Amino acid sequence: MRPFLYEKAADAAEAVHFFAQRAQAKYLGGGTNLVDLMRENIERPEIVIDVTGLSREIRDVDDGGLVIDAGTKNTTVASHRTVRERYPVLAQAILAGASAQIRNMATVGGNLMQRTRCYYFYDDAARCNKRERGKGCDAIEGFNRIHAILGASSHCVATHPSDMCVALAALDAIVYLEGPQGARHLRLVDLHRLPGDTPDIETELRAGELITAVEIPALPFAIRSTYRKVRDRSSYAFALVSVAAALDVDDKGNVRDVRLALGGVAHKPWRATAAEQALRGAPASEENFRRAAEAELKDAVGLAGNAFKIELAKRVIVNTLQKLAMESGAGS
Amino acid sequence: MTARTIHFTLNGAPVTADIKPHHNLVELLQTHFGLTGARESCGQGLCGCCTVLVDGRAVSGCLFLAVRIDGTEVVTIEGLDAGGKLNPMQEAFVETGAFQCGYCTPGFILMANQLLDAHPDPDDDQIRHYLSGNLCRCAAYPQIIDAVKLAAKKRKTIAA
Amino acid sequence: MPPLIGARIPRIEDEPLLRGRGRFVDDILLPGMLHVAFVRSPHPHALIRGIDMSAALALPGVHAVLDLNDLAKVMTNRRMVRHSNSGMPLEKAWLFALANGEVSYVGEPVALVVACDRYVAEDACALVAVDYDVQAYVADVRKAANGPPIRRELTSNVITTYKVGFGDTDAAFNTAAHVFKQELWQHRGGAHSIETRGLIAELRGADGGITVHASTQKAHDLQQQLMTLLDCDESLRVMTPDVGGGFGAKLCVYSEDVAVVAAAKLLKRSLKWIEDRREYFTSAVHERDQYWTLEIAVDTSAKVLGIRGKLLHDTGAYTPQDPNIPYNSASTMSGPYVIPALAIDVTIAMTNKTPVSSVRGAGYPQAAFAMERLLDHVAREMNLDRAEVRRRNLIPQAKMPYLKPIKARSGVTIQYDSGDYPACQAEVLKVAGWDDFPKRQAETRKAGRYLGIGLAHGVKGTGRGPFESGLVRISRNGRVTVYTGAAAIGQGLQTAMAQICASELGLAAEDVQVVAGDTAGVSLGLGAFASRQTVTAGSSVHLAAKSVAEKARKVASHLLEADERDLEFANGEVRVAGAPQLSVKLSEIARILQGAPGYGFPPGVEPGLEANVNHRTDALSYANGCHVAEVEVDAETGGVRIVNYVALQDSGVLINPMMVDGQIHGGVTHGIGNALLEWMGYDDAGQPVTTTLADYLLPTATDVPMLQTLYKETPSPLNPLGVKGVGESGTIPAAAAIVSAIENALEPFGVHIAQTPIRPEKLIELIRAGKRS
Repeated sequence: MRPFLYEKAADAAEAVHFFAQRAQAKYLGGGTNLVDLMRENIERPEIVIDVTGLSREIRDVDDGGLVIDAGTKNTTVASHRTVRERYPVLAQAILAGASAQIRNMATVGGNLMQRTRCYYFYDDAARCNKRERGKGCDAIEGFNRIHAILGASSHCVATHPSDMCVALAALDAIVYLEGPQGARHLRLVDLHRLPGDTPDIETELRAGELITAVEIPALPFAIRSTYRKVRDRSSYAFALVSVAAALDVDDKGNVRDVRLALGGVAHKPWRATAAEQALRGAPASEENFRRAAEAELKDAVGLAGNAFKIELAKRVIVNTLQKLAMESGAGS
Repeated sequence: MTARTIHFTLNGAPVTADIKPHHNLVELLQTHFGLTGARESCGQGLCGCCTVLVDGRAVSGCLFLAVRIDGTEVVTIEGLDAGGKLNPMQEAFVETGAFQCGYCTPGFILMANQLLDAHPDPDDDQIRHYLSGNLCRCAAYPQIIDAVKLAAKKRKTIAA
Repeated sequence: MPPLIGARIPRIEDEPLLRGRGRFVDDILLPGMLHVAFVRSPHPHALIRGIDMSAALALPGVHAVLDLNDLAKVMTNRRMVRHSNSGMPLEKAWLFALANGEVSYVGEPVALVVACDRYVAEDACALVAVDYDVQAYVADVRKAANGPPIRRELTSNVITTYKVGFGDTDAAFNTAAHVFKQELWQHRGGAHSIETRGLIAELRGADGGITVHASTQKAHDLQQQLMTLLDCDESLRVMTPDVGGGFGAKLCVYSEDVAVVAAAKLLKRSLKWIEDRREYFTSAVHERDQYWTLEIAVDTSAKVLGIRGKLLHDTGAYTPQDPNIPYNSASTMSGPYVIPALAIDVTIAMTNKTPVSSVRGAGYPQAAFAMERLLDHVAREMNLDRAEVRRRNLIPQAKMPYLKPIKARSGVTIQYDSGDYPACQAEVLKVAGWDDFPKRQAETRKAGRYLGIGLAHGVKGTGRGPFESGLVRISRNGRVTVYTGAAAIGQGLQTAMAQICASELGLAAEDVQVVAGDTAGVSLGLGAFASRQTVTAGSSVHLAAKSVAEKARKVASHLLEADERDLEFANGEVRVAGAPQLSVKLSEIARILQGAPGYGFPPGVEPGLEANVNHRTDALSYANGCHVAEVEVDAETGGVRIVNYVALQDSGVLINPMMVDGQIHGGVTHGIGNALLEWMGYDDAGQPVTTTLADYLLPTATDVPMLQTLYKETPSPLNPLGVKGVGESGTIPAAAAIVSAIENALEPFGVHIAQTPIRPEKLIELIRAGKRS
């Protein structure tokens, strides 16, 4: 690990101020990902700005939503009563990720900014367009069972590793930012980018912008929501495929509304809008769930090692929706 | 990069250390205080050997920058056996044979204690999931589960 | 006093480890010590045109950057040549201390940096500019024979081929009612002790000698190899601190070991090298990559007539020691069964991958997997119960001791010394509920759930000789110390040896201190491998303690004027049975036998209340186990959950059943890893890709069920304690039993499994293929 400067910011304005002082600056949340990458020499910041001193509250919003400050620990979010009651998908997703120790350290903002677990990204002897634009990608022809099947490009097939973000994508969370040009906000689904020909640019954040909070809008039917994660090991393993879902079925057994997002399949948490569209208004049946899954994975592309994920994703979507439908008394 | 001075509480005693920003908590404990119970195995927060309690919460010391320890309360495995007597979890580990080489054991004991602090009467599944960030290649997992349950009993006896 | 042998007592090792006060090699801090990091090859095969060290040397804090040419100044040989005990041509397969102008696997050490701390050393490594000329490589052992040479010096990547067998296989296959074919693959994985490798070369100020503190399974071998290569005398001492697990990988003498000590000698500084986990992934040995092509011939009643086939063993880029693993595999695959004829053609080939040597099981798990897969195949094709097929072929108890007409590598014909395999199987099936499983299975299938059950046997030759050292000494203050060349690597060796020793001397285990793996303690030692130490070191310690007791008895008889036969040992004394007031302390006897200058000495006894025994043995004690695994498979996602696991083990007399439980559980869990999780991924470019514990998955608490262990204790007639080894036993049949269970669960889909590990995508693929056919 290269030596670096360390500053602890008292508030967002100070953090942004520190950031501007060096060309290579990084905000530090829990450090579970950034410090790891620094130890591996993948990240080499000149200055690290500790933002865990900022506010770390979870606040109710008048319309029934929730605002979670970016410095809140993952453990705190997962064990927060409102989260568990109103957004079980979020609590489940957080608890499905990492270990208790890591969740005790990791922050919400840091979780959003997690970088990929692609082997070639971590191996500085390998070619990686994410580490160095234009260098090439060893994953495409390489060992790629954990890689993306949706939205990938000929430059990058990496996936976003977060579980929490998949739930947040399904919940249509809003991300609050503060930067040199002031404050603004983005939908979470618009925060992360697809790789295209610039896989090194992973988010829509502008230089120096800091994530200060995440808002989860009110979504009453999210009380019936769930997170399903398929992985190689029964604990502490990244997702091969994961599904965050919330389902609202009317008394005729038709889908009134649905939220669906996928993890482990793309460069970003993947909001399954095609599937959602196919389902709204349709009977909540296994057949329709399957049809929706097919619609979502229509453009999926498999590589030598990860083609299995296409069918796997469909099955997990169907199973997860089936389970929610059963719970709501509908479904076949 | 310049050293800075941090002040914190280590196993109950106020202490001071001069450290550099790139040093992590494991190094801080080893090089400044000779405490080697928290050790690195993976260096990536994947194995749990470097578990340390900071302000009452278990963290992976290998990814925890030492500068952030300033102003906190730190408890390590060496702080558990106050007065030389083993704590109930340590006793339970001996009695159930819950470890072999002992390299990972301090991390397991700290985590298992955290579990019982939060859930005094955990079932097998809770124990397994709570300890899933700790690897034991000697694979004493079944005995560790027995040990946690035995320690839960011991704690209740002490409390009663 | 209750007998100590067989007592489930807490271990004497426990307390410091529990308190975080264990002393592992990284915990040793020496004043003025410098730190080493290695520059490693990023290529599977390349020539080195040059190494530019200037930028690294310019970094503040860097003391030296060394390559093989530098180290050669203090070495007798650039290559770490060993004696080839097997007679295989290994001249061009031995390791180098650092790359000799060429690298042949990713991770091979090329140069080393010595610096004030590990950070600077690592940063300097990144500044060492190695000019590589990339060469063609071989990543797949099946392409090794006809592929480009993995190193320039080689004309062929095949080290050797040989036949292992007995009986008339041609006749067996000509007369067989059925012949079945099977191709199998077991993939490579790592030992992954939670403590990585590491060593300190301490330059002793007082006498200029070197003490090597090493996390090793073989202290004496390391000492002798270092002395030979570095032209040192016996002032070079190897000490083994607490070792955080070995599981096979710490039994080799590695390039890093030699390089660090050579650098210390060259620079006249104490040096420390602690491996990080990424280095462990590419530089500590791997094992299990074997391809088998097999045929089995059976008669109409499913009795095996013969087995024939081929075994291709990938030994990686170098052989750190004799590559005996494929011989272990081929010579033991017939396991607990009566197999009249066997013919296996073995090929050992090199690839541009991490060197291969022993990982817990050392060839036996592959052998059990091959044999058990064949028997499952026979059962399926002949529509018989899998347990019944085994029952018909198991060696009956009446035939013990049973001669397998094949030689172990010591040259001695394999003879199973004792055991009752059919009884073991019957018991484990009963406990696991084998007979009513089909009913349970049928019920759950109705609910769309797929439960399966599987069984497998494993026989393990334990207690590999030719000897292990055991020295028992009682000091003037009454303290009892055992010295042994055996290694304590976390398995409870000290407790086992203390129980054995104390048991002869009327003491408690905690009265005995055990010093293991210190070359200054005993002159000879072989170390920890092949499930051997309780048998070999245990026998030596037992005999040495007996001999010390006899001596003490003789002296006490003289002092107490009592008949030796009337004496007994208790509480650190020798006393007259029935008249305990007539006693003499062991400390007093020790004082007398230490002699006083010029004064008298008891007649008829040798000086010193001590004895050193190197108990000789060539024959192996054969331990056996039978495991039943029950699994549930999610046919949609390919997820496998182990719901029940019963392991019956017969390792003869157990010294401490609590520690044996630990060994069996650890072994089974390693097998669970091999069966389901542990995949050491290499891509087609020869690059290792799963080099973190997030990518290469070890079993965690959530993967391991509450294992049931059962024991039979059939004493081995081959050693005075009647013991057999246990360390690897749990691993051997585990993957075979689990795979059998998965296949059974997925029977409706016609799934046939031929490899480990078996991961979700493979199961999904097999289910799909099965549905189609």
